[in-house]
Parts: sequence; structure tokens; C-alpha cells
Amino acid sequence: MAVIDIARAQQTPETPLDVDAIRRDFPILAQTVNGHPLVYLDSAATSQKPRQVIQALVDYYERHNSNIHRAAHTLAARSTELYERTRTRLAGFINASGPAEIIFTRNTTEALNLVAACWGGGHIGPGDEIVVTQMEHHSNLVPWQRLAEGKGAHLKFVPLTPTFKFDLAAYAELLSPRVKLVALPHVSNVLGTIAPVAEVSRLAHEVGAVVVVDGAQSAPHMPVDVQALGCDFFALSAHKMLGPTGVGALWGRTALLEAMPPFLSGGSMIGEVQWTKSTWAPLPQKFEAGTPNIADVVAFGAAIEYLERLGMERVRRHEVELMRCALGALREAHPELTHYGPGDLDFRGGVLAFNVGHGAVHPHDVAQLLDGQGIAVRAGHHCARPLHSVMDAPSSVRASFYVYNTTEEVDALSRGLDEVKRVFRRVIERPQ
Amino acid sequence: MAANPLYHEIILEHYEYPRNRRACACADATARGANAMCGDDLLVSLRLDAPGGTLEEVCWDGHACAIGEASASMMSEAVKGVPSAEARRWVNTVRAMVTGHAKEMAPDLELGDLESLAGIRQYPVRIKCALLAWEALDEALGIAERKRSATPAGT
Repeated sequence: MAVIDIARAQQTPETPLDVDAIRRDFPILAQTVNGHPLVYLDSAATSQKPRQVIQALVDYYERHNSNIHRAAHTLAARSTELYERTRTRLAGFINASGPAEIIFTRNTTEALNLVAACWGGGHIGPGDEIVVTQMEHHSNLVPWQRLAEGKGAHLKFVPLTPTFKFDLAAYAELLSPRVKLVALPHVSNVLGTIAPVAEVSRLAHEVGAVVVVDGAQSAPHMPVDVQALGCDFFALSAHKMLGPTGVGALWGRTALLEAMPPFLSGGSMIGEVQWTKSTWAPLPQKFEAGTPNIADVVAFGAAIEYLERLGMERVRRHEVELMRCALGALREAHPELTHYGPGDLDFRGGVLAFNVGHGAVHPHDVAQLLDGQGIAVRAGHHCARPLHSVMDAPSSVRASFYVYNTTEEVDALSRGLDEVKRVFRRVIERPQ
Repeated sequence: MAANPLYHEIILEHYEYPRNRRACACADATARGANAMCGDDLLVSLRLDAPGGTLEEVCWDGHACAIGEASASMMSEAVKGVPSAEARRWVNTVRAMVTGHAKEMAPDLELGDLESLAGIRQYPVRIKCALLAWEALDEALGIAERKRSATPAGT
């Protein structure tokens, strides 16, 4: 530990990440795919896992495994302590007021559904309005559609500016006392757009609305301080931030969470159970019915520790530099690409969506040809189909960056796109 | 540089110059082939001639990847002018070919350009793309046949 502390003491937010050292922590990256070194550019879908996280999982099952919050034996106490340690660590990571404000879920989707069911169920009524944005992932759209439909409420959409930014002026116009809830992504999973959450929250609170933030694409990539953001709920997924699949978290303000009914009910979440009625456990257990995903929560703790050691300011800077490099290289070498997302990198996460030849080459074909060269990108609508109608494209190709990506991999992407251009040259060059 | 194993020149040629890609006027049946995960969406329309049940007209429209659109184009050429029962054999044969069940392919059908799709079986995630139009054709044939059997002979 002393070595790490010395390293941290010497590192400032300006110190670049030691990507070579980071890559040595990710066993999966040292492989070839289709005869080429793997270039993994799909971290917005799920990140790779460092050996520290994998080892935490193995350690848990080999040495500590037991159910939590139950038995008095030593293993049970140890498991409970490890599980709760992640809660405390995550509370610090996003600057929650305390660990009781952190609810473990399966993923961001479940966290958002929890808010829709337990807060929305009690606070949204006929004629009320729910404001969301045009850049929602389906996870932060469909639960609100269902809530609005069930309650006779209406959805309103904040448009994007022509440069794919959050349109703050249009948002302000949508606000009225009828608006009870505002839901938005902190960072768009397609455009990379960073939303001005602090300003959104301030304006929403002026009309008495609560603010729900889908943080699935921000928590892994930049410093998150829920107090500074001023929002009321913040959802994230462990698997996008170097952690295992099957764990997400909801942060909510204590007063709101305490006033909400439980989500699922059964074991662990109860206070006192009688034959015909029960009372609920205090936060956070009230929202964690049944045996949770203990091992993966424990390993998630190792992922947060890894990110804290790198420093989230440095993670953010690394991705901004990769984006600067990628946008520069691709604009020069590949004029046949249509880019989506803000060009201003202060408003852009490490997500690069594009189409080839104004959509003349289908994203699946692009991704297939890149895969043939070992390059993993995503093709499709990225669970944001309505957004693609705003982009005027049925689907897109998405490359996304993380701590282990290098500028050499950006060059590999550019060379990979040379092959796409070669195979589809005639359709790219055909007049539209 | 070597030719790409998946993107055969014949596939690229059909993608570039698709055959029978248009809205089908006075179709007997239209069915949709869609892949919600990638946004691909094709409509396949056909018209059967009254006495023999031959596919007088087969056309398609919509949006898919190169594999999906090339397959739709080749399909429209292969089944145009054949009896509906034989069109079903084409569907089954192509399905067998791209899923790697060569034994179930009808040996008497001349595959022609469609042979270029045989390599798809090595790319399991793309099989759905290659079959998008064919599944829609299968459904449209069912609709058209039901309509015919519901119509009294001689009318």
C-alpha cells in the first residue's frame, strides 16, 4: 500500500495515465482476434476488468463466501463487512451524504425502474409532465413512458442543439409547475454529449421537480459529485466502470428515499413481520430485498479502488486526449465519415459515433470489416432508437474509449476504416 | 490486398445495383423482415397469377446491411416466375445453406449468385441479416396462399 500512496502523492490531475502499466492489469487485452491484436473500442457497452477485480471475485469465493446481514459466524461477518465496504467506497466516490443513500441494484436500468416505480408511483398524477431528453438510452425512456401511461401523465422532450448539445434554453421553456420529474443522461451513450446537470437541477428545483440522472456513461469516465450536480437521484452500472456485470447502484437523497415505499419485498428488507402486515428496514436495506449479488458488489469495490487510484480527473483527461486524437485523425484520413456529437470536447465524453458515406455503408458491415482486423466497435442504434431519428440515420457505428486505450489504437481504427473504404469504395463514391 | 471472405464481389454488386427494389404495385401479400436490434427493416411484396399460383411479381424495399440487401436482391431474381411451392423450396434451401445444413438443400435448384451467401455460415451473427428477406418472403407466401384458398375457384 505504501508504494501506491507514494505514487498518488506524486501524481497530479495533469499527470498522464501510465497506459502501458494499466494494460498489463487487463489480461483480456493481450490476445489476438482474427489474427490481429485486439483493439477494444466498446467500453461504452461494457468495460474490461483488471486482474484486481477478477482476483477480488476469486478471493471472495475462495475465502469469504457467506450470506450477509444474517448469521453471527465469522464468514458472515466478513462477507457483510466486505459488501458494506463497497457501499461506503461508492458513497465517497460520488460524494453521497452517507452510505445509506447507496442502494445496490442489478444495473442502471433497475435503478431507474426503482425510481419510476417507488417515487413516480406516489408523486406522478394525471396531467403531470415528465421531462426527458432526445438523447435517452431506452433505459431512461421506457420506464418513464410506462409511468406516464399508467398515470395519465405526459412526456416532454428536451431537444438537442444543431451541434448535439443539450438545449438549455429549450429546456427552460418546457419547465412549468406541471413538471414533476426531469430525467436525463449525464453523458449520452451515443453522442458523448455531457449534459449541464447542475444547471438542469437548479432550474428543475425552481418548479419543484425532482431530477433523475442516468450516470451509466459518466461515473466510469469523469469525477462525479452528486452534491455539485444538485440532482436527486443518480444511477450507475458497475460493469461499465471496470467492475463485474450484475451490479448497479442508485444514489438518492435520504429524505426522498425514506419517503418512498419499497421496490421489491421479502427477506432482508423488513423490520418486523406479522401474519398480515410488516414494517420495513431502514435505508438502505429497505430497497435490497433478498440475497444480493454479494460477490460482484465486493469486486465492484476493487473496481472503484482501481479508479480512485488512477484519479478520475486523469481518466477524464486521457479520454479527452484520445477523442482529440481520434477526431483529428479521422477527419483528415476519412472525409467519408459523418460524425455525431459535439465537436467541443468540453461537452463530449469518450464516445465516437459515426456513419460511413452518409450511411451508404451499413454500420453492421463497417463493424464486421473492423472485427476482421481485431477492432471491436458497436453497430446499431445502441439502445437509443428515437435519438437516431434526430440523427437522421437508422443506426450508427460507435467506438468508445477508456483508460486502457491508446493513440496507437486510434490509428488502428483509422487503418481499419481504410479497409472499409476499399471494400465499399464504389458505394461510398456513388453520388447520393 | 486479398478479397474479403465475407464481402464477395457478387454481394457487393447486388448491394450497389439492387434488383427489383421498389414498392410493389397491386401486391397480393406484403410481409416485413425487421431486426429491432440493428434497425433493419425490409418489406417484401409479391403477386401470384390467378390460375397457377406462380409468383408473377416479387419486389422489396427498405433498409438493411449489404448482406441483407444483397440477399433480398438475389431472392427477388431467384423466385420471380416460379410456382409458390417452389418458392418455399427456395426459402428452405437458402435457410439450410446459410445455417450450415447442406444436406437439407434441394439439389436441383440452381443457386447462381446465391452461392455467394454460403460463407455467411461462418459468421453466426450475420445469418439473420442474410435471411431477413427470405423470412419475409416465407410469411408473404403464407398470406397469399391463404388468400387464394379463401377465394372460391373461378372467381
